[in-house]
Amino acid sequence: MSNKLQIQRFSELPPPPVRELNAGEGTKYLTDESRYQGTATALALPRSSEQVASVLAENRRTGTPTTVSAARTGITAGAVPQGGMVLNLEKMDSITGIVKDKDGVFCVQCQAGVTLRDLKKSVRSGTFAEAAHWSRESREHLEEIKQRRLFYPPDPTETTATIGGTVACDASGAHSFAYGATRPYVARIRVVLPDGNYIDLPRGTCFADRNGVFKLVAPDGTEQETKVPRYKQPPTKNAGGYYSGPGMDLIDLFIGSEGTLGVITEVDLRLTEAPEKSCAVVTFWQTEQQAVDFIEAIRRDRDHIGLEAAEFFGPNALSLLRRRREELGETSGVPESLPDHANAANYLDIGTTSADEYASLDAVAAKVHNFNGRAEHCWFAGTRADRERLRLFRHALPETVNDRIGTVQKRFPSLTKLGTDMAVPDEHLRDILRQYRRALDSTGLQYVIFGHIGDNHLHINILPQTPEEYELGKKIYWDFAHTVVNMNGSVAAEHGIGKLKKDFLRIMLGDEGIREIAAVKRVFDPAMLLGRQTLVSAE
Amino acid sequence: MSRRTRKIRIAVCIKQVPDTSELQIDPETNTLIRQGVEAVLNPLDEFAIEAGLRLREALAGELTAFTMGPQQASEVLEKALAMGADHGILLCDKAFAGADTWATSLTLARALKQNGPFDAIFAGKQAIDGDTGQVGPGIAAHLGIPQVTNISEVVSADEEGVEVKRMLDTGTAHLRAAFPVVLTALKEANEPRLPTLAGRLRALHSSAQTSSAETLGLSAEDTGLNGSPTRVVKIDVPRPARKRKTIEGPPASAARNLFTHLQEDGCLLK
Repeated sequence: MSNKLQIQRFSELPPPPVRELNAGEGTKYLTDESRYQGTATALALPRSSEQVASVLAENRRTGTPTTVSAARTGITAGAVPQGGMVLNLEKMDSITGIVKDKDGVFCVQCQAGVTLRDLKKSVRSGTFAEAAHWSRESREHLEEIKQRRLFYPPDPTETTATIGGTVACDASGAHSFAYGATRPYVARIRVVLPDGNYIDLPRGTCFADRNGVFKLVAPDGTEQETKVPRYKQPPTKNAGGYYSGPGMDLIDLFIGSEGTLGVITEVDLRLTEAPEKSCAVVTFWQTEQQAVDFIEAIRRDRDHIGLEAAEFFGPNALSLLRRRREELGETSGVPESLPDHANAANYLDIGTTSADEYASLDAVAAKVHNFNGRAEHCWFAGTRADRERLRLFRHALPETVNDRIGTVQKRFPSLTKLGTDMAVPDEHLRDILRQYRRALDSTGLQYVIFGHIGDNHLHINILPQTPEEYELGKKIYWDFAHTVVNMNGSVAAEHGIGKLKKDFLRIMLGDEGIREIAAVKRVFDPAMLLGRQTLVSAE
Repeated sequence: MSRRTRKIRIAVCIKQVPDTSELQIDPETNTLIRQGVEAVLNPLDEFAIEAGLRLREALAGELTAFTMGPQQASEVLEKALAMGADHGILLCDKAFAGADTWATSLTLARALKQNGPFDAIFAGKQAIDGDTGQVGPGIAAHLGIPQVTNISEVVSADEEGVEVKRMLDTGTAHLRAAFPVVLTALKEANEPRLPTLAGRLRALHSSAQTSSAETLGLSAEDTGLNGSPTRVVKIDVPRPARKRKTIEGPPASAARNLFTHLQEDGCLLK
């Protein structure tokens, strides 16, 4: 174990693959799913780590601000440029082999621009387009993994996201309830630094010491001592700010750093044993209280049931979905059999075996019964096609919210939905839900509550109808952030901070925490050129 | 007063097929990759199950699902049970292997007769692997009862029969069919329900009844490859025979160019 982080230099750099950004490309490269608009004058589309290094070295020399992006599926504007150049990794889309990490776990080795969808599909089918060009060892590993049922667990909603993006923001999804976020699956990264040098960093090789100190060793051997942030990670899902803490693995400093310390160009991702059988259940309830009681009960039995995800739809969410069904019929993605009496629902993913399926589902049904629900009304999806129907059902809610906001924007173009992304520890679930309801119901604002209730990570989407409501919504959001931080929760559980949630990060980490982030950033990027206005302000 | 002394009995015939949405071609061998590909209920059969369930609910009857296939095919019966079917019957015998649509519909017809009589027998429009659309009509022929194919709506039902809409190339036929009748359902007919948790538990708890060639009283000449008057001689991958043309240039001139091409090829009305 070492606290020395060795920086390496490429022996030769190719010419940087840079061109001017055409006017027509603006809509594509200047925004992301947040719809926040940026500016840039140049575009680089590298195909290798060396080309990334060449771009960054040149930009360092000319003082050009650089924003790394790929599929632009983020919703906090991390990939939106603030002048200068867009460094887009979408052409770095090769899966380059299968290796074993130091624990003997199979890892897929890929470039940062591979999409999550392609990676998962390849792993599932055992078919990799470039396998013929792999090393003999990789091809042998491929034959071995074909004999096993392995998968890559992280499941952010947007499967068109790229691996680099998901590592840079430590993406999570519904299944993080059982499997954790992206972080534990990253076995190695290659990071190209803003000066064009790079670090190859396998997990478990380089740590901050017990005082949080580590040393950056330049290619010429000179050492620079620095410190990781000291603030404590909340005991919840969290994607707000750099990872922190004495003794931390330094690979974790880059995972979740949102493209502000360097450009992650290559990643080894650990695969793990997939459950033999996957199924989903949707339970319906007359009251929200029943849904919460059920979740707390089922969480206690999570291992026996094989619970992989536990989601929630509140009363307003179901009303909105019912209206969507009435308006759009079957194309709404909302099944006809959505019960009229339901005011709350839970969605569960279950991973089990043929031998255990009955016991697992029977335990769910018993708990449904305990809280006065009816198993005859619960949806069950055991096939891929039915699970897909339930996926569409889940997605119908954010789509409806976006449609409704789109209508409001015709009158007030600057209004957006106000979406929270906060998680609290288990013991505060009831309390936070009560506080959300009390505050929102007293204002008359339109809103929905839904999301990852298993992790106490409920999204509130406020749908303001007027600029006055928008301001009121922002104030409430601000108050919620303080409440959540007082409960030792996270203000940014999965979407990251990007450019849009910096004020919330300050609520969570305080001025001192922000200073610690800026200090680490300055060590790797002294000219503050990379990912401007993400996480910390340039000044 | 009803003249009936027994419940309306409804059957649905379904098939297990490979999940084509998951199929990939091996780039080296150009063959189908079957690893990790689920075997699923033929998607078009879901509309038949749903039509059967709705008829059962309307007439307070009972619904039995039939499938022919290997032991693994009992999974599609489990799906039908989880959706609400009352019984499932698996026709499983090595002697059934390699059956064409004649032998398949004969085997199903025999099972329907043995477990019947049924008032309404539903089937999907066709299976997405064989794509013949012949098994439903074949069952009607073997049983010697009427059939109404391509149903886009079940309008109403009573104890004597059903009123249905049948989709034609030129319009819609509105028909009334007396029981017993074979009905093949189109995807326009309904929106299949999702299975329920209670249904799935019931399906896992009950095992499907199995019938063999012997229990159905079928001889070796009637079933499987031996009972099939047709043979698959060869399978070809279709090659696209379309001409391809790429039109380049600025949008206005490209559009003009495209218009000229379409006109020359006779694609536009003069």
